[in-house]
Amino acid sequence: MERSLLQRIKSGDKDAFRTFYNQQVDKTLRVAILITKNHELAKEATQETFIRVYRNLSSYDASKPFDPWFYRILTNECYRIMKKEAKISNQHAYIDTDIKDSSIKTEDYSELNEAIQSLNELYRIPIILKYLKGFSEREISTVLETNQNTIKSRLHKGRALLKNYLNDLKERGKKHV
Amino acid sequence: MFNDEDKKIEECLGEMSNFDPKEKEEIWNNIEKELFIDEKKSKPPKQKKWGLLVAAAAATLFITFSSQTDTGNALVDKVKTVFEPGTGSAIVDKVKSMFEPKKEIVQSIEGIDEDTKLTLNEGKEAEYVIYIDEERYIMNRTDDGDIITPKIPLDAQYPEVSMAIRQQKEVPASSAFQKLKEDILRDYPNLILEEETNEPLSGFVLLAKKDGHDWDNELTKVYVLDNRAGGSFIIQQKYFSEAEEGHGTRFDAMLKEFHIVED
Repeated sequence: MERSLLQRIKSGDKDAFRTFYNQQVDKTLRVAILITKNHELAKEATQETFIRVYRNLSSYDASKPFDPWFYRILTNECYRIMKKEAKISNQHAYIDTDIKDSSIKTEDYSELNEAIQSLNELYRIPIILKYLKGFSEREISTVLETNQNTIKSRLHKGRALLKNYLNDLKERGKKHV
Repeated sequence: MFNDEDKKIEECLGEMSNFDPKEKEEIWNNIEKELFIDEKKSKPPKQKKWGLLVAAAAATLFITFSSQTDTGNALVDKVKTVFEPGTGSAIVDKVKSMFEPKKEIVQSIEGIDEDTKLTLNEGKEAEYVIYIDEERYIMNRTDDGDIITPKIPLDAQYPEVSMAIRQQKEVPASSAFQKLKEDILRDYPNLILEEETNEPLSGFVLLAKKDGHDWDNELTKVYVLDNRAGGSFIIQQKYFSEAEEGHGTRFDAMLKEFHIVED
């Protein structure tokens, strides 16, 4: 984030915060949708993240990159909201339905979509942060507060799992022909 | 895969996360209401107070200094050099004298930073030490090893929450891990994670759960690490799905302050 924008937000400038929101919200909401697998939970996580960031901007160390700090708050909010939601509903059943029934995915990606959905979040979330947000392994390790080598290994394994899943789908398809 | 497949993943994630642009306005309206419209909440971001800043800096300095001087191989070497043959209690006293009796850490519990005080405890036969959050947990010694459980026992409807620490002096970590994996998977058939790790400890880690997706679905996380004498330490956490961000996170935070003492 630009320092001048940061200063203006810290002084309570609403327009500056709106500018910041406009700059960030697209990627933020996308990442939240992919982590939570649910639009309503993602909207709640996004909203709470911006509120939390506004209220805690003074604790951000401006000598460090802003985005990993911001996305650490976002992922924590996603986890918190998903946990809260899990108390009152069977998360797996309805969350899967939310994305699978959505009209947003195209037929071309249906198999890859299914493969990504099948990944455990330990592998899925680093993949989301790398491929959607464009974070480096180091930045992902900061966001997830996990060792960089662990992230490297999870990305590697996540991609291998995707590959295996797609291969299995192809094999099953051949058998059905 | 990958290169061309990398591009496909990127595009697929983009497709999977599409949303109606109206949703952005809806979110902003809620944020605006929360931060700027409600008079009681419309104050600007809180500013740091110097007194608090100085206290935080002092605490950070304390923790940094402690961790730089009291952890890892340097510490083990340091402990090793002062050991002399002696009785069990003398060894315990010496081990304890090498560590700060208490530490303060900041841990993130369900997204919220929390200050936690940890207290030094020595493990079975003083072969390791661990800092424990004694406000919430208690450590008991058994013939099989040590077990850390909530200080206030959970009600009967909750599954077990515990962290057991034991040592297998004759079994190297890699062998112990393979054997343990078979045993664990019999009780917890869904393997979630299996990898080498450096956080919170260096060693092997395995995370597995029982069938189901309910709030009380039981999980276990097991760390197996080299005891630096040809054997292994086995640390097994047990908790349930809803407790993962609470007890699970707190157990891992305590394990960051687990230190092997060589004699």
